[in-house]
Amino acid sequence: MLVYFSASARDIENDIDTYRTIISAVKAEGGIMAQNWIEAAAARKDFSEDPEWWRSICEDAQEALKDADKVIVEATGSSTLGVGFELAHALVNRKSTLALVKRDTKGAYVNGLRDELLQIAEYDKEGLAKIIRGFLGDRE
Amino acid sequence: MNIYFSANARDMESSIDKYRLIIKAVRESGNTVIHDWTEVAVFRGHMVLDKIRWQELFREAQMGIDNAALVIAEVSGRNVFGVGYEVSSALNKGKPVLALVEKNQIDTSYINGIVHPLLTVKSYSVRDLAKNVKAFIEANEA
Repeated sequence: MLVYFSASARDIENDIDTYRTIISAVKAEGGIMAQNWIEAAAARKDFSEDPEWWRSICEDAQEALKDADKVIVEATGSSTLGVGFELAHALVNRKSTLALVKRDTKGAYVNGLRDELLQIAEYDKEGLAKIIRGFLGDRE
Repeated sequence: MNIYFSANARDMESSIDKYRLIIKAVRESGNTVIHDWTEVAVFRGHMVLDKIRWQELFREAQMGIDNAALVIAEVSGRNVFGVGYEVSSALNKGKPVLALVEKNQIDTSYINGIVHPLLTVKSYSVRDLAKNVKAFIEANEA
């Protein structure tokens, strides 16, 4: 099963452990990442100011989304314009999607979204793998 | 013409002045901001919303987009997940979108990478904000 993972890369130094836990959980379930951008983003750190670079990031994401069987998004992170954009795009393309929100996050817009293909789960790091197992195990 | 305005509602104290400039420019061009949520958001301040209220806000936003001819989105800053969602929704519903980004943030914004025939991206300063809004409306008037 191909899985696309969408998350904010702005604070990747702080978020990388969580992202790695998510990716490990996907792989443990036999999933394959449709595009694993996490390690490249962690190595890069700085954000490019080249519009062409941004264009290639978006194009790659759109392609990976199209190919994916399921989509997981981390919807807590800061500066998540791209994550919101990709989540809406995933649902329009009828992809079964899991939105993860850190437990006790106040005021998350994602809590208002309603779509039959969208599951929203609050998580702490310890419970992440179980949530992902449940989502990927659901073969609907 | 109905125009829906999408923006981050989290930090209204520092954002409301530019939002008011955008809304004023829409009205001055003879158009209506459909479902104008901005003043309510100022009043609400930092009140934490429950899930039911978030669902209402989401539904109202989608209705606003559905009933709008155009969408204007302010996409600067952080915590703009909902704005990203609404920009994508609007484009998928065939609505022309103007995405406004503060000049000092344009080069590092995700919006730079989105290529869509209905999307116009403009960097702005407060000085030329109204001009950008009016030019977009004019370009999309039937």
